[in-house]
Amino acid sequence: MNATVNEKKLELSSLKAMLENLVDGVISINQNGIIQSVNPAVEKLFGYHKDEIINKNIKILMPEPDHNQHDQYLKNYLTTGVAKIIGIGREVTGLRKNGTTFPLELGISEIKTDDESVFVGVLRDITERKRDNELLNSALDSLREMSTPILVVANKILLLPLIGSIDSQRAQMAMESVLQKIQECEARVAIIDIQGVPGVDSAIASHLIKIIKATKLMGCNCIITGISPEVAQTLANLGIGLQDITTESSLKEGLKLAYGLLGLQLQESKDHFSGMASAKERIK
Amino acid sequence: MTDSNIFEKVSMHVTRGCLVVLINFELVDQAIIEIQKRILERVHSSEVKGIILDLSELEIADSFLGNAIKNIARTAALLGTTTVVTGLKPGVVASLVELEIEFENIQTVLKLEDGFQILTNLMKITDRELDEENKYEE
Amino acid sequence: MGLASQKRIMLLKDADVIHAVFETKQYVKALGFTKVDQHMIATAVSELTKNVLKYAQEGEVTLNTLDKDLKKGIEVIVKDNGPGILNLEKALEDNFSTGGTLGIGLPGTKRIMDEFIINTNSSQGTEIKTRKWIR
Repeated sequence: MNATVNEKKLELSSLKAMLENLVDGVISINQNGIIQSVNPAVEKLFGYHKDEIINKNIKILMPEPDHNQHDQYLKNYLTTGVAKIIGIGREVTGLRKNGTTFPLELGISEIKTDDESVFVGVLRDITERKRDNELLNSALDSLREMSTPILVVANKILLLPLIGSIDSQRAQMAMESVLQKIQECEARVAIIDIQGVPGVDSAIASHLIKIIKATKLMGCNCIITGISPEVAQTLANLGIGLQDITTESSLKEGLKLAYGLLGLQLQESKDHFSGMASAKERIK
Repeated sequence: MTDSNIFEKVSMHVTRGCLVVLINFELVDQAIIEIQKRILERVHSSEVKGIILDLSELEIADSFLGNAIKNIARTAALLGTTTVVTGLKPGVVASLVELEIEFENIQTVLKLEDGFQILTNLMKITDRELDEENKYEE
Repeated sequence: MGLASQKRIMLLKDADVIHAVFETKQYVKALGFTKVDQHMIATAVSELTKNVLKYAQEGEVTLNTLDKDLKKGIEVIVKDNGPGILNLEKALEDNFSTGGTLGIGLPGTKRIMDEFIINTNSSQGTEIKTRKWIR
């Protein structure tokens, strides 16, 4: 007999020690929303001494609009049994004693006794996680921007070198930045160089075709350069014709053609004339 | 929407031999149909050689408007008139592409001035062709 | 806590489409979508709400904010109590329509948005739930 009581005591004290040392805050409330107990982490999170909050309504730890509505939330749950947060867990905002707020993740479980329910909430400060997320987001943003650079190679000529594989998200980014840039510089020719795209499958091809159509709607001539024989073969096998699309094997040829289209002269003496001639050929 | 209401939002006038239509607000479908009708009536009754649809102020183009523009161009072509669309915004262009609306035979340019340029060049060509035909007849 | 502002617009007449498009534009602008995305999402709403008026006469559109870990986005729900879409697979093909105009609205909208779910049947009408995330 004594042994089991002792075991129980031991179990309880170890549970207590766990709660005392837990980084997460633990709060229990009764079904009227009155705080029954808190662990030390809660004191640290909210800046209150536990005597200041025990026997107070839990809403003291919430900013608006929850502050005013929490009693109603509880009542709704107790009458309808429809859980909005119990057993689900979600991100909420906490209100510290000094009036500042912070994001926290909250999980609530219900402990039912014979005639009453006790709700136990476990909360974790996610300020840092949020900040990390934002940092990561902005880093990802700049990475994406860098992955679709657009160069103004000459007055009214844009170059979009695509490097790496293209998924629909990158394609959308590329299209968007090209269109913005065309509008900004009133570009007349857009060169898309796909030499750096490892494999062009039908999905990538359809993204490319969309970009080409869009540049045309912006009043721009579009030249695709850097199509390798393998890629050309793949496109042909896929039944994707690039009939209406101007292509050049190399970026250099593409640039010559672009200059030709604008009636400009390429600052290059040697094969300058042949370049112009081929440009003229094509314009016809 | 009443007629007077539409024409507060859509201006239509003839400049340098071209009918210039400025659509600068989102319109309900019924209004788009009405404008389509008025443009074609105008083309039929006057001697315009080209239509410029200036959409530079337009922010949203859904499939209904896109198809209306195609219809205008197609019908105008039957009446011997070329249509040029000017000033499409990036967002409008991206939507048209995703909606797979193809402006097959419509020239699109950014600036209104370029639109005039295209149509004026076309007119010169047709005038020259007419002159040459006349020469042979003489 | 709680859901960020939800916007609900009733669709009863043509002008409500313009209203819905306008509200969507404001909504996605505030959320931080790029300009091109703002226009595209508003276009998608134009397509979907016009369908409601054309096939079901009335309905409503709801705009919600999505906020999930790294991503933020918009959810557009368009609901009606109309006759439902009989041939759903066909309706999602390009160039299909039962309403007298070219039915390119649905597939186009699907391409514009990132997620697209249709629930439709003849007794309860059609609900289209669609989402787009900020890139």
